[in-house]
Amino acid sequence: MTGGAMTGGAATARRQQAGWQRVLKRFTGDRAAFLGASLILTLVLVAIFAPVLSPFPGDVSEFHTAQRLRPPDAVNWLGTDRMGSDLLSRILFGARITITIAVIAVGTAVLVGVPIGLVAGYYVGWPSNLLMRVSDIFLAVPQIVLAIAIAQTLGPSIENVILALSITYWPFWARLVYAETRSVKNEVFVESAIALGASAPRVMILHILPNIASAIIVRTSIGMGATILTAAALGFLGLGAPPPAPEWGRMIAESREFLPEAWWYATAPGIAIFLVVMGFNLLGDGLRDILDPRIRRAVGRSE
Amino acid sequence: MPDALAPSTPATGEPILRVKDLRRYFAIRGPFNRRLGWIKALDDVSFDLQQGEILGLVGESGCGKSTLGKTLMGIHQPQSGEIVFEGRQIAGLTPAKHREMRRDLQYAYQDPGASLDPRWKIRASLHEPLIIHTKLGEAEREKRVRAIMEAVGLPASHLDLYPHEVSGGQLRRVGLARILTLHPKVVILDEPTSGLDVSVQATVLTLFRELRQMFNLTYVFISHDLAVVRMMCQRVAVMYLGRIVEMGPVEAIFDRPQHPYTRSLLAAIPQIGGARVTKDFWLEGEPPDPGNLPTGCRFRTRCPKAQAKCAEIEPTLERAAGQEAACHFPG
Repeated sequence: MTGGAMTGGAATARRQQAGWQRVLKRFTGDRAAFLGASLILTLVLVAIFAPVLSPFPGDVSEFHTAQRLRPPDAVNWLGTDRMGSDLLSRILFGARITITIAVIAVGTAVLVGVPIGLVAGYYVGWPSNLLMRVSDIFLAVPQIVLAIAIAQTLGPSIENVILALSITYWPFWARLVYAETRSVKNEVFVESAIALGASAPRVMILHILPNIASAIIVRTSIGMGATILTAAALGFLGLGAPPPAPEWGRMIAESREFLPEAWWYATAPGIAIFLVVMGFNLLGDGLRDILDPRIRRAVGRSE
Repeated sequence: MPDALAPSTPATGEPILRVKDLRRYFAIRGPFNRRLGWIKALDDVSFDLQQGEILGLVGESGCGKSTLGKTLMGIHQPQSGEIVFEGRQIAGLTPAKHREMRRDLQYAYQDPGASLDPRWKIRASLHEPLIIHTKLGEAEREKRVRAIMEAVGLPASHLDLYPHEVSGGQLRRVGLARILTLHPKVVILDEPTSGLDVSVQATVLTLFRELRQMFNLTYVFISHDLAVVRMMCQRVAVMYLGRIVEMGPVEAIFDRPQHPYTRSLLAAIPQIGGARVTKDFWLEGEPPDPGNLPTGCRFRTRCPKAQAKCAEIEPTLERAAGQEAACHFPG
């Protein structure tokens, strides 16, 4: 028995080493997820290297009224806007604003929502219920309306958009983590850690959190897309960064007066938003398939 | 077949664990959280556990065996009753105090695989109890973990595996190793052999005995496998619907069962060359709904000896032959 177990052990050890490679392989095999990841990687690279990549980096704040509303040509690949600035350059710089808003707003929502959900899910009693009812109230209010109210009250700026989005988005993570914690808490390994004498923070952080991490990662990826969309909507309504910041949402708003003649004016930022949101959603779906422990376990057994 | 290591009746003296009138009810809740009744998972359970003995706890599924084990561990809070461990009352202790005491009283899960964090390597799971309860440094912990791995007969290379990469029999060893790193005094073994094939069962049981000697352990052995209980235990408590109905030395229970429920359970053990199982076995149907127990004796609905008295007065554990039985008409 021991001999057989040994060779079995060695074989599984080899399999384990190949585990990460297999995840990577599954990931590259999933075309949609791979496309999503590529889009997001592009977004990040564009945000970092915007000054290098854009043909007219100065056009973020400079106007050339003589060249206003030019259709796409060899010089201005995506055309120019009402001020005569190069649209491509503005969109590339706009990636920075988009990524800043999305990362900080979602990051705050995760940092607030995850601990609340974890604590509320771990303990049973009225404080947990109170926390969840508060998040229910936030969920009951339409996100965009609450964000508009907050951004309107505090004035248009990137900081206020981030604040508004953080306040409205944390309950999504709180609810998710709450539900996941409740189910993982019933698992025998959690009960056994408690029986062993592990403290509540230890159980929550070292046992429960790693086991629900994949759900949080998936939700965060999809949440990024939704946040970017809402941020664009707030920008469109004039509640985002004030001009001349190259905010995608506001660029679409500005273009309305010139439609349908200046079709490129609205199309360029529109496609940028579309690609980024789609990228996060595809990545989120792909990650769900790859990280889902049930699916992964089934794959592990079938080999 | 009690072995030489195990005295058939343990030395008398102050019991290491004393349980008195332990009660654990679970509320049955209907719509709007209205309480519809109680499931009496443990109903006035009392027993003593002597240092060094192995007490078997047998009964059908759902009779409260595991609930008893978990209540002793403090996973469930008892409604009332006493648990005295080494002279200290531990029922209703604050969680912090309880945590400290858990070092000496450990619970081995029915499914040791599920009791290990699936995302942790076995090494991390074995280090954890030491991190929680001791101030040992990393190197010292590793030394102790390796010693325990050797004691349970596993190669140290298994420390780098994940629980799902190890076989069922080996997982039990890992589960035991995890508990033993703290050198507890009492270990509650919950169905330690279920789901193992016979050859592995034998190895695991031998291991339990060796470890008991090595670490001077006292076991509460929860099982529905009567053959295993007969082989392992010195004393047996038979549970039926949350109550101990018969308790005594293993030979007395197996040779001269006094409670009709015990007799019926024993008749269900198949024997090579023996009478057909069905001949003496008249235990029919399911146990009654634990949320709605019959009046008087809770076994009377399935008992062939039931009489009018049984429906009126609930019998208590009383001396009958060499053991105690809760029956108005023992024998």
